[in-house]
Amino acid sequence: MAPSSTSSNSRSGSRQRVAIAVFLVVLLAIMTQAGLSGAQSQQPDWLIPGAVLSAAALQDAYDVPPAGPARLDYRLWRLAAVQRDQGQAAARAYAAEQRIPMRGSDAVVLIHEHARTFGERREEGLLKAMNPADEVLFAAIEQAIASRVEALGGAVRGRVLNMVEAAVPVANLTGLLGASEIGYTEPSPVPHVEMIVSQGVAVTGADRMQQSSAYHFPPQESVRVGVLDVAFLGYQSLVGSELPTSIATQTYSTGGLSGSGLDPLSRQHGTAVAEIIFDMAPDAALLLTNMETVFGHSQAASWLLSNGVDVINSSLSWFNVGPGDGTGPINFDVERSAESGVAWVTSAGNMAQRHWDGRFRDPDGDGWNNFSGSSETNPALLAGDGSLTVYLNWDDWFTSNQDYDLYVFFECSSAAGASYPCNGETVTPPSADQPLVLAGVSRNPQKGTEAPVEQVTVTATAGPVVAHVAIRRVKASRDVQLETFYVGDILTTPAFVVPEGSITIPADSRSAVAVGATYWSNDNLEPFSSWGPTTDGRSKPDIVAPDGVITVTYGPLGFYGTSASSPHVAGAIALLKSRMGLYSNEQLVRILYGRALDLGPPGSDNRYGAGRLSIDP
Amino acid sequence: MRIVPIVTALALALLLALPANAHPTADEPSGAADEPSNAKAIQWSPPAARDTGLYVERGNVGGFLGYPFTLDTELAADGFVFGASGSYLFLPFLGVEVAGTRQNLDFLPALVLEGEPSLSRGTIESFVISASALFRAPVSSKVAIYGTVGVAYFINDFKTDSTTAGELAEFAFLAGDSVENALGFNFSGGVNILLYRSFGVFTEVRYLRATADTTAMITDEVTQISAQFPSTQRLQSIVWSGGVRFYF
Repeated sequence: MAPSSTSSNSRSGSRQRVAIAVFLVVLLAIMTQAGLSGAQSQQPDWLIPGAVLSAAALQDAYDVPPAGPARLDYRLWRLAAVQRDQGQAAARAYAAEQRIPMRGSDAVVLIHEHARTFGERREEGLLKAMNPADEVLFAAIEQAIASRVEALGGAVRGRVLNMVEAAVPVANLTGLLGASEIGYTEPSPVPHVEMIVSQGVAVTGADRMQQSSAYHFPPQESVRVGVLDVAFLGYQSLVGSELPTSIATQTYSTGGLSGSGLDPLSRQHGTAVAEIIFDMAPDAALLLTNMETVFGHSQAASWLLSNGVDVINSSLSWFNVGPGDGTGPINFDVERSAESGVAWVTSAGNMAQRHWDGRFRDPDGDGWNNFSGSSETNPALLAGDGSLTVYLNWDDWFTSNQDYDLYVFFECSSAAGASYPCNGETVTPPSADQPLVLAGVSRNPQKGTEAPVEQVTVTATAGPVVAHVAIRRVKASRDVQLETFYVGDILTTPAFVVPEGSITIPADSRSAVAVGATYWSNDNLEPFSSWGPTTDGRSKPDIVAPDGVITVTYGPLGFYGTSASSPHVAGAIALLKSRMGLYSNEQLVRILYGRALDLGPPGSDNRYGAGRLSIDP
Repeated sequence: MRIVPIVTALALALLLALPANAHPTADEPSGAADEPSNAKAIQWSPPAARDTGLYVERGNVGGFLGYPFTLDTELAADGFVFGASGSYLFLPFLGVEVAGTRQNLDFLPALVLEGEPSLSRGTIESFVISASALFRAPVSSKVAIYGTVGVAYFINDFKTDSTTAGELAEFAFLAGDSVENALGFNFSGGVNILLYRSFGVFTEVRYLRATADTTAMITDEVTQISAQFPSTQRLQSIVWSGGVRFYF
């Protein structure tokens, strides 16, 4: 027995050593795959690998256009150059591609007041109204800005906090340079609706309450729900059936309620959102308003507030209009609505798979950020005829002297040497081992008065193409925390993704009800549903709600995305309000949080918030 | 509404059916109460001496049944009014009356014409204790008219509509509306009719009024989040009632 036993022990020990060896090999492989370099994100095997960029001079390597002047957004500077060199038609095409809002031949711009009065309010996070002294000072500055805009043949459209929105002829945009009262001029930001379409129905328990006679102190007038969106194409045909007869509308868009400059699905976006609210709260009156720009957002919010809404739904995502800590001009509208007792419900964003953030890392000292390991680009496959807008910002709000630029390269071939077709053009690779060609660049200067943002849009014109995003340090005294969002027609997730912190604006607002998305039939978190926290560490989203629901607007394929989830919550608040009118909107929000079906880790978390919306206890 | 003719008819029937010359007081001459009755027809006797019947009443106790008429659109009668009263005369024409009246009024918030309703749908249950000065004037030994005026203390309770409460409970919401007790006033006028010795009937119209503090409240039993709405509610009704009294 003893030898046998010894033999058995020997075999057992041998198996253990083999197992340990196998384990170590596997562990080594995993560690190697992960880069094991302190990277903040990982790249699955099946994704497109990142690239190492040339360390050669940019101009020689990639034919990079020169940076623009200080205090003027790079896209505006390029727009003026395109119009000067290629004419108005080319300028309009460039503006459309780069998401620059236009009024005829004028560009709609957001002019930031020079920072001399801005610093104090920066500390307050722009959430409070200006003090009287600031008001007097800014009134004078605003007048000076208005005079300059008018002298350039433009017109002021309105004011948002310490910014003036104006329409300025493209040919005269550079006339804004050199004005001491102007800190920075950028194209007025426009929102995204992030369309995702598929199949499903809603499950929240609202139908049971609708059928019950559970009333306590119902309001004597209909609960009013405002829908703030980009467009409401086709809503008229649904009034009386899928939408209530009690509807008021107001547009702040040049295209009217049907919107302009949007794809067909986006133009119906607000209509589908309104449908869901009506499904949830059939007794509510709806107020529909749409807009295009930051100032339009402010106008639309003011119109809704002046009309006594109880709830506002905005299934929109904004980028680069704030640091993601609940401050900024769009957040300001949320906060002033909350101060009026209005519940502002908004989509959390569909960015969990399209977001990356991390501290600038450049181990090889070539100026390019390393996303992970040695990868200096973060690639994704762009659909044929699709466009991709990449937003970059970093933690140096609201004005920055840390200068970084954003690049997008197309990978057209791995063949070295000869010229080859790329995105409809014949290109020559910059070096024998470098298949990347420059597709777009954003070179905003950050010299102390500009925002820490870059934005570029690229379009695939000849079939799918791999788009590599890269970030380059121009002049900086520290390694900033970078954040990028990919918005558009990409067929794969970017190679390096950080879902944490992918919440969009205004879902980062302190008072906003940020709504994530779960699939209606199984409560699984949608993989695209944005995660918290905010940049200042607050937990978001606040709650999740079903998506994939069928609407008449989008048909049986369903309405997917947090855009569809948000109106479920807005409608639930309106339904409860119409049944139990004593509750304030803020209380109803807390009740919904308390009744939510807890999902994910116990308690509130950064993916599901309080849980899935449920009116039933 | 239907109780009014019932009460009136009851009073008249008793008046017709019982002896017309009944005398209630112990001061009457012996044997007077034993005189045969005339049940076949009303035969009014010659005016009685002023030392008989209701002329010499010192007080009474009794009970009544009636119906409340509301004067506010949001309030509606919920069933009959009932109660008891007693009076004591210090002087032939002046005394005090104490009464207890139980009335239920339905509150219908949807019918509030002006302002906000004070409560959700339900029933205000009131027990009204009134203390009044009593003025009486016998018109014969068997009939006396009287009037009262005084204070009324409303002991109130509010019951949320059961259907509403049940439906709310299904969603774990608890309605907790309340109506505070309130001091008000009342006045009345009526007729006492002596039927037999110390027993008689009466009918009266009484106005009851108070303004009570109210609190509408809803509580989410899941989160314990409550919302309240303090207000006031005028409680007023005209009660037409009839009943029996025992005189002494």
